Amino acid sequence: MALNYDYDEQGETWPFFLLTLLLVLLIPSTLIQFWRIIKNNDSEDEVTRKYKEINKKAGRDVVPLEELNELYTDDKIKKFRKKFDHSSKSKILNLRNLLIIIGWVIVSVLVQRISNNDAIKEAASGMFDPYELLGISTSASERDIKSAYRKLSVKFHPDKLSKDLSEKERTTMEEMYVQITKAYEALTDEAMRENFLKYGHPDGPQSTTHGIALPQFLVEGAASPLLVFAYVSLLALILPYIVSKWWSRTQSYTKKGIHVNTASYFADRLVNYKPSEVVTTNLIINWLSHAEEFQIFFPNKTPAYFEKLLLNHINRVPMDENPTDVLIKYRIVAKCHSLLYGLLDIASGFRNTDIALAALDTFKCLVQAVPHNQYSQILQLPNVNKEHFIDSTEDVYTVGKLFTFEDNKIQKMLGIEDKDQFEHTMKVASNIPVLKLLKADFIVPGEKHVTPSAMAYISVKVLVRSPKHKFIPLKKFPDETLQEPTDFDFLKDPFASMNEKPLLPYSFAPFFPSSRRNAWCCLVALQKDLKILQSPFILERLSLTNLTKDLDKRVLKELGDDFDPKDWEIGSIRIPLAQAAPPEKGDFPFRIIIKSTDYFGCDLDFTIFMHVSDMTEEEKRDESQNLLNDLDSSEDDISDDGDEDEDDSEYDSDLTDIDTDTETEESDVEDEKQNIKEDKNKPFFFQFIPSKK
Amino acid sequence: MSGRILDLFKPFKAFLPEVIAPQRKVPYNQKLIWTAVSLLIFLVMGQTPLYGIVSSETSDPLYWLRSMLASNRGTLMELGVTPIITSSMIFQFLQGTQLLQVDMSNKKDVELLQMAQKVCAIALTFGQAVVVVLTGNYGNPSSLGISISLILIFQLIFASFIVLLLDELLSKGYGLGSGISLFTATNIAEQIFWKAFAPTTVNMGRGTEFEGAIIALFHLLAVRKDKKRALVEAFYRQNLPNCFQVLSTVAVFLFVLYLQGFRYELPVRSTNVRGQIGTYPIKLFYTSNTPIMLQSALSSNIFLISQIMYQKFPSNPIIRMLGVWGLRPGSQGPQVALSGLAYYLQPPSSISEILLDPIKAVAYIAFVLGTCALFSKTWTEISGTSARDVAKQFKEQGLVINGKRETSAYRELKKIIPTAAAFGGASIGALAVGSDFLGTLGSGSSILLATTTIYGYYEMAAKEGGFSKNLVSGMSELM
Repeated sequence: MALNYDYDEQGETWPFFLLTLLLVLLIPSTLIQFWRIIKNNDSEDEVTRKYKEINKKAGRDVVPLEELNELYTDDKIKKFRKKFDHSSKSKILNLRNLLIIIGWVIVSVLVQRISNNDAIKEAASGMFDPYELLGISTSASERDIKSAYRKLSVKFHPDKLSKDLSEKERTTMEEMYVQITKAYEALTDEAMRENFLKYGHPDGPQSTTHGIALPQFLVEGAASPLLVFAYVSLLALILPYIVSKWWSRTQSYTKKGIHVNTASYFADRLVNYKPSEVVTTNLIINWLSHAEEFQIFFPNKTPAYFEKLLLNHINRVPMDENPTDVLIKYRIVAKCHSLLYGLLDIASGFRNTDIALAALDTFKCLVQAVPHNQYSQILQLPNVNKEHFIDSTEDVYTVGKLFTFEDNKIQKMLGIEDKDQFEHTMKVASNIPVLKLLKADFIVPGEKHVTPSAMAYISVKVLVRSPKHKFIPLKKFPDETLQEPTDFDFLKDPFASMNEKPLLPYSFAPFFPSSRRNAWCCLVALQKDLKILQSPFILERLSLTNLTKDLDKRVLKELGDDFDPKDWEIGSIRIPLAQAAPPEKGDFPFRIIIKSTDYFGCDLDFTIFMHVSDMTEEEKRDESQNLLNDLDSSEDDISDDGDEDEDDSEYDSDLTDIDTDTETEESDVEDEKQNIKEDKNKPFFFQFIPSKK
Repeated sequence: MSGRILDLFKPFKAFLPEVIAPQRKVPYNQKLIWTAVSLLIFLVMGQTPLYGIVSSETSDPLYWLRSMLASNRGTLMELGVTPIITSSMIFQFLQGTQLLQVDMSNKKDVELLQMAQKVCAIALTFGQAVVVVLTGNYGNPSSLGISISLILIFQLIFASFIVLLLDELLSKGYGLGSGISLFTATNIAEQIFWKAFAPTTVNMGRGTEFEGAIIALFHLLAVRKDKKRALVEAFYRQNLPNCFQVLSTVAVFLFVLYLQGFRYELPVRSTNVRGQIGTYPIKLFYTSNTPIMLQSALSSNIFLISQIMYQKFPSNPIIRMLGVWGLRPGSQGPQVALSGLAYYLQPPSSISEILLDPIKAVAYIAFVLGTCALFSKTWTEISGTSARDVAKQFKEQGLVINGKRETSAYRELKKIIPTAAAFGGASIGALAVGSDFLGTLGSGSSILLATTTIYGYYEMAAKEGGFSKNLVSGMSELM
């Protein structure tokens, strides 16, 4: 509108404008901040917390390792963690709170200013207020108004004024009388009252002036060049700068969060990788040490230096003489987490199984600060005397085997003198979650078996158990407990239900510079050429309730009849397949590798077959039968629930035709042997081979 | 035969500037930047005054259209997105009624159609700019002089051209969604924010008052002595935006967001790729904000025609029946219809007006609900989302309704889609009427337009940015 705006000369209005804007921003942010401080905001989500509560009520402590982890962690690492972990940042002293406090200070200054500003008070008192003029309250009745008016008019009426008043006094009195009359009319006369309510004045609309709540000094005078300068710098300099900065940052990091140079270095290594080369964790460490990220953190150090630090970390070489080196070591080891995930992803892209597996082994080595060899499983436990243990004559390489001995023997073998320390060691050992494969299937949602070109997923049923548990034979678990649900909500998104499980607890990793949760990486490779098929699926949620069960194999010789499979929680891992099933019929072997990132000795590596077959005649007939039903039902206006139920029941009965036979064949293997084999990673080792049908 | 009409536009290809479609998929981050930059350009144009205006104080015949068309009086955005919308509506209509046959699967045909739309939009821009200037919107053309008039026309054409290109840039895959709805929604949101937080003040004889409703609340509470009356004043003042309006706007916004989640989920599975099971959501707002857009386009066109005609021939009885225009007694605001057909199609301004003239209120409600339901139903036919089209789409993609025969998809969809479209359209209309009665900031339909657009953007961003998948259920990604 082409109107003339008056600027706020007396500072009557602009403080209000600023005050409101500030309050509108400040009140919500303050409330949110309060909520954050009150609520103990861990990285844990709702589901995990709920599980924790249930377990606490049942008297089960599923995460006993967190305490021990705290106990065994070096003070230096704790200090580093405090600095490094965002979640443990001080909740009270941070930039956000500082801004909020500054905001409230400005608010109080403004309030002070407003209450001291005379111009505002004047403006308020200059207003026409009939109630005040008549000296009555706003809720006064008509009679009160009349009596008040009468009293005042007696006092101020020009005819009744005393003669000895001066000219000036007389005019003010007369003016007062006019005002009072107007006030009285405004409250009693119909038309005037309407005018008053609508326009604030009994005479109808007054001349309007428009203003803008900006202080004059901003627009005119010395401040205006400054203001122009501020505008220009904001729009022409700061905004483009921020955008370009953000842009270059998004451009220089890959989706997995590693620097593009690092990614291209990894890719380069993978392209030039000779299959004859033996992949060891040392090779991976060498690759990691060339990461661009390390160069960015510490520009004047060489990759050789980083490699030395990483090896020092793995071999637990004491480095007390140089504190800066220690800090650098912590920083780069912590960064290895995302680097290794990045490498794993790139290796999967190149379909290189060896590199991917070596990357995961390196992951464990870095997390546990243990070199990768046949002793790693035992050496990851705390307090183990390395030399003593390696010298001992017993052939013990796995935690599971360890638990076949009596406590005294174990203590001797590991060379632990202190009783408490030994107890801690045993606690850690018995809380390492070991996966036992119960069943693995290719499943096509809504179908009885895999048909050509169908979108299948891999359903892996596992039992989470402790190394100390007695081996539970597969046949203890009836087939019904291993079925996939068949309701429509599940079929729609079979992977959603995995999110209802709690996050895996924090790992026992006292040497790793940041606190971390365990995860299992699920790799799917073709058995034909042993190459990885798709990028790894990372499992971060699984209930570990089973670890609290007391089923010590040294105490319990035979699994009694009182064993109830319902007491045990069966974990479901559903690995999505990125590709459709092959278009032709046949059996296709796949190698599935489920590897922990944190612990040695809890991996799975097995082969399953995808049986691709057409629909059988019987099924086709069923389907058309179904459709006939559908035709009838839609004509009779019956809801389709009936049909679906029928569908489901058929589905149930035929679901397991892929590997129903395997279960009978699975013999009660000694679990110790199984454990050894599981971790040796021989490429052609099948722990679980379903027979062809 | 009709192909020949399209072919007429072929020679223009060499002259028209065109945004080249991106060679590969533009990443989400880049899309955000493009969208933000286009928006910034649009907003700046919306605040840049036209050079050479003498006055723009005459009554504004386009008042009823402004918010819908993202136009700002007296600025480069005088025309807003009017030419683009009009031209695309013309072509939608031609296509829907089969007057213009376009083979949507033929790439050349589609390109030609876009070209034709653009040519039409440019022609409309030119025409509208000339009309706006010559009708004396910015002062009498004879007093402005030829050169100034030409400069004004040139500015308007140039600005509309930029908007056209920005829209093309966004809709060709560099940005999120279409430019038109983005600009319109932004314009509406800007107006609402201005009404809530405007720093301008008015003094009408009872002290300085802020125009922004929320600022006025604080100001009145601080300044007035009687706090209770100050509160009442801040919430119910008639002449300026009040806090009650702000609250009801927020309430309508939230309610529409809530209703957006209402959907009927049809369980479907794929026969081409077994194992793909999902749901095909049929939303309550099946046609989104189209019915309300069409309805407001219709009524604003009626208003525009009736207002112009009334000014030319104030005494003609037929035109008087269409609408008698004037200032509402006791207000300086825009001209409103005082009687005639236009009066009954105009939203009541307050609850007291409903009580005073219930016939008008009933007529208005019936008109809005009826037209919305009708438009919504016809829109499904025109835009290719009717039951038959969706069934065809299902067949092409090998989708069947779970547990149903392949051929029964049409029958199932026919049961749901027309009902959803009509009911959804009517409920959108009811919402618009409801918010008009509540007295939201800006008209009810503009708030609905903004809300549905914002929600659409949220869904799109969620889908592309992948930050919250569960808002969009499974099958829409597959399709």
